[in-house]
Amino acid sequence: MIVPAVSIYEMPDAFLVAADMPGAEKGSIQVRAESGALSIRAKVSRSGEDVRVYSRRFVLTDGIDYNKSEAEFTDGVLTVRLPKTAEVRARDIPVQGE
Amino acid sequence: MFVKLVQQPTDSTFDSLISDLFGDRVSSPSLQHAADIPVNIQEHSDRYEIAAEVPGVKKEDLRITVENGILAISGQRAPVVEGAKAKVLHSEISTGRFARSFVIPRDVDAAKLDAHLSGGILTLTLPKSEAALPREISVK
Repeated sequence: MIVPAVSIYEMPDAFLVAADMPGAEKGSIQVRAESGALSIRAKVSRSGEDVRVYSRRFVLTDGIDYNKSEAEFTDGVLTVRLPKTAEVRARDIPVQGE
Repeated sequence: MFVKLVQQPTDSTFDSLISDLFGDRVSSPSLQHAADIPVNIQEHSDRYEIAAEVPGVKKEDLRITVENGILAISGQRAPVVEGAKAKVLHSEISTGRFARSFVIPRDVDAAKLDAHLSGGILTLTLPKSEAALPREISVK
């Protein structure tokens, strides 16, 4: 099993998880959010080598809108976008008063 | 959790095989700050194959040169997220410049070198020259 290198970013409206998975087969990639955890998994099979598996799991914070989450695999990097729910999204609060 | 890597002995058979065939060259001064990239090297009957992991790197940001029997790979990786609005919570992915170079084995036909980038893996094919290919000699 290979533990992919991961970076996590926070934007005002979403979290972004990026994982290096060079050589992963696109069709084998699994991204699953379940009971407060995100797991990513993919198979690598290169000619002349045994099949290997990328796998990693993260505990997620509350306030993520899973229905709007999306994942993309480009140039060997898996990026998972986890939008924040409206309740936790950063917003500017207008200042009242004279 | 961070684990410090233990220094490996450098005189193992495997290491000396690698240095005989593909010995890593001392980087030129301009590449001193470039990071290493992991590579796998395979030998087949008719070719060598170098597979280098370069996730997140675009084709146009890769440079491959052959000069004086040295094969050099260099390039750079753009930041995963652009813009000041992203706060880094956790960072294991390194971006920026990388470089690696190899001595090309004598039996390679350097003119026929081929490079292919797919899914974050750069595959370099180094065909062996005709003279180096295995052949059978018939007995008269």
